[in-house]
Amino acid sequence: MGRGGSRASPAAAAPPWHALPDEVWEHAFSFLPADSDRGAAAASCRSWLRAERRSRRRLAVANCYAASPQDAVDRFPSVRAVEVKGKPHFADFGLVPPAWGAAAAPWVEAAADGWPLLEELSFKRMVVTDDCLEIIAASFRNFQVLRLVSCEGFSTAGLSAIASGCRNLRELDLQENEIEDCSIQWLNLFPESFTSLVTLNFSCLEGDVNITVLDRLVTRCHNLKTLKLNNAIPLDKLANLLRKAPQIVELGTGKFSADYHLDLFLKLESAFSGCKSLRRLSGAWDAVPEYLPAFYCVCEGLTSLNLSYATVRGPELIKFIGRCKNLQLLWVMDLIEDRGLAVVASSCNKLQELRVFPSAPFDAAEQVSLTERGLVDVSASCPMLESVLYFCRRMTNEALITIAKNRPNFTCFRLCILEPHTPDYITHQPLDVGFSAIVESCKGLRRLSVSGLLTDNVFKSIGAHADRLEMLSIAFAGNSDLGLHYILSGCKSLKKLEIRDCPFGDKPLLANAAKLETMRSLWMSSCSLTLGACRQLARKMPRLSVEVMNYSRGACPLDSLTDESPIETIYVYRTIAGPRSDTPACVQIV
Amino acid sequence: MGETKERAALPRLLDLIPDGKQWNASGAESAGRSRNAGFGSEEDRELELKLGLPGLVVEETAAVPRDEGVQRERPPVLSLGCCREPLKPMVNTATAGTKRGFLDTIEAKTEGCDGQKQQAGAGCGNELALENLTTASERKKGCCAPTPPHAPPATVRSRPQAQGRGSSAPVVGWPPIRSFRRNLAHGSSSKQSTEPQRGEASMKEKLACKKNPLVKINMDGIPIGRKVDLAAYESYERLSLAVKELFHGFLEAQKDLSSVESTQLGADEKIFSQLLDGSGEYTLVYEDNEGDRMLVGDVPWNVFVSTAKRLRVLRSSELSHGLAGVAPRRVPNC
Repeated sequence: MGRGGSRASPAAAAPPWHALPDEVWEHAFSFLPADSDRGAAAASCRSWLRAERRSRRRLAVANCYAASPQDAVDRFPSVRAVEVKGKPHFADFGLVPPAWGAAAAPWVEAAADGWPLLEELSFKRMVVTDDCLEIIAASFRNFQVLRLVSCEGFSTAGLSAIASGCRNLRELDLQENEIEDCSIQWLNLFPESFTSLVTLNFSCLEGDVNITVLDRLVTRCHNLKTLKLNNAIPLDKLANLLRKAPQIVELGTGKFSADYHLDLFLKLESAFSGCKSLRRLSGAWDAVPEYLPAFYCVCEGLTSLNLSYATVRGPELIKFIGRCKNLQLLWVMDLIEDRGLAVVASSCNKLQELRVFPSAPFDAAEQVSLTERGLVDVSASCPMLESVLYFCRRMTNEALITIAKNRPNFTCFRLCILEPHTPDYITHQPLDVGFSAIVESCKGLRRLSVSGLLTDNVFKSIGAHADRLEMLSIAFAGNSDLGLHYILSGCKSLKKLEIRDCPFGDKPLLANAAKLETMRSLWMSSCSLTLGACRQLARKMPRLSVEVMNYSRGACPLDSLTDESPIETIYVYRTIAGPRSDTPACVQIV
Repeated sequence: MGETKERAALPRLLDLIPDGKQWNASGAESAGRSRNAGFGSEEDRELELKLGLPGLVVEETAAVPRDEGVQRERPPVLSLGCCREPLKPMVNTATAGTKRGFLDTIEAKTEGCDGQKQQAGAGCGNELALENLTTASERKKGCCAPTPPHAPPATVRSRPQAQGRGSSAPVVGWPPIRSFRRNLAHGSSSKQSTEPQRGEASMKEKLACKKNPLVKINMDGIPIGRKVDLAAYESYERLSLAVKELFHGFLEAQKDLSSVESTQLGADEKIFSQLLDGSGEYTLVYEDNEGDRMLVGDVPWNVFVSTAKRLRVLRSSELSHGLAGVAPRRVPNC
């Protein structure tokens, strides 16, 4: 609006706020937390751009190759918290070559130079080396939060550096990383005077930690709110730890199995009964039913329960979950079965997010009675349910239509039918109608994964109705180029699109090339693309980086291939940094 | 938007893109027609021929002779208005010999793909590494299963080469579950599948089963680790053979790449033959449950299986660093 005013009468009646000094603006901008708002404001005039740039404290880079670290540092000199994401999402499932890239080092180095006051650093799906961790530990005076999610490349040696170097660390949050174990002593390196820890999560670590040292650390950090242990911590140690930290809000237990001893059970039970503030529970590796009742005293308070590592099943599991009446988030294995979900439906009326993971994803003979029934039940009686990830073996259009009708408030709907190309098991029709019902009824849907037998029709519907959809995952679906065309020409808000094993070819991609520039990234593997199309795309859209991965041909240079050569995988993203220079042999930029 | 520039730059595209709004226009038509028009008119003619997909007829507009301006002026009429039959002859005459029937194209294409894949598989170290990685991750599934741990991976292993795309048998990365979750899932559910496992016996069994999960094994100089199920080998000798199996391929690949060391053929045998006595090029060591690094072979096999946390194939030259003061010793075993 400021711009509108100044345009209408160029010199004479500039709005009064134009005279305000930058400092005032910078202060004003500190009240604007949302990135999108800040971006919009910065685009309105030069002085706002300047003010926004200088006052920006948090920076999120959704693709580490979209901008160069140096540019980020130069543009936002006052950043205190940075989050950088690396590899494409499909890296989680092994579809991205191991040496693809996404090194954290350039970011860490740029940050060490340009942001000495940095307090928070988060990396997701990046290669973080021990050197990176050492630089982090040595470079930032007031470093407080380190969050590594699905990262790899470092070992406990790097963690030792963090423990000994970051005197003000509040959070050490290690989620699902591949960590090389080279010593169990890294926890020892937190100095005895160190008491600032609020979050400690090492649940992904495979090796042992020194329990005595952990015990002391937990005892002296009185503000510890989140503690997530790994599978190596035995059950009897858990009780001791809990007694030292009754203020705990979020707990990831270690191994939750042991031979049954009544005294151990009682010890656990009394430890849990002391944790009055416990709200979120996870871990419970290898949980055995005999010990589950030890949780009963905290059930009422729990809002979040992640039993997706707990391979327990049977009535004890269901009884336990049934007592958690205030759950907002529930992650379980399909061992809960339909009857368990029926209990969830009747007991957990505040549920907002449900994830059900497969216990035997490769074994169709495994008899777990989890079907569309369970999801229908939950959707019918949990009015706040808005996010679902559901793995199952069978589904019907009717069930999907019912679910869509029950819960038009879904923002995230990810359904994975384990066997590709599975039709409606009653009518043997494609599941087009069912998924169409979901997108038609859930106007606020932001994330969608489709599976089962699907034709182009479902994409027509998705393209036309899913206006808010930001991320779409497609596998083994569609029957022609039209499918992809419907998506790319519709789906107004689409940011990320990932496709595998679909018969989508060059034409819809080229015809909608401009759309790709409005998106963050596109992944297509095992589709029907040719190198010629990738070349045309790269030529047409210079701001897109078109990466080609041809595993079977190794380092064969692209120049030697003809336009007709089929392409196994492309990853396309927009970037202002130009093509990256750290590609391994199996990745080439067109 | 960028379309106009594009046209100027690529005149060849011009004649096949009659109108930027083509997509919309065709969308308004009946389904069958819109398909024909929508796709036929878009792209480079050569591309188009290669890319035919089932259920999609692309020939019509491509058949419009490229150099005839008059015809080009009315492609909407032509492409939308014509039905398939009258155009067929045109296809044949205009592009005599270059086009093939639809099915032919498809078949040829998939054949081509597979062929390339296989042929490329031979020479390339990268590919080999990837393949191995896949099998490694597949193998993890074998843990604690009631079925013999080796059987299922074997069937899976042949997969990457053998299958074409779109097949319904298991595929890399499907279902979309992270690898650590796969291990977890498989180790557990199988054991309690039928009876709702009550009583000490089943619990004991389960715990025992849990005690030997897959352990990691790394080899000096090989960047990628493997996992082994120690319980599957009955003796140190078998383990040492297995270690050879696990890393032999990587070493080969490395040789292929550098092709310098490929002088002696029996080198592999040598490398792996003396893993256990510390006199060869490499020595097998492990980290026990107390975090100490130990030479493999000192304790009875069973004790080893229950205490080993991870294994490492160490360059014997490194032994002095890793195991300062511990003299390599040989204890006869099983």
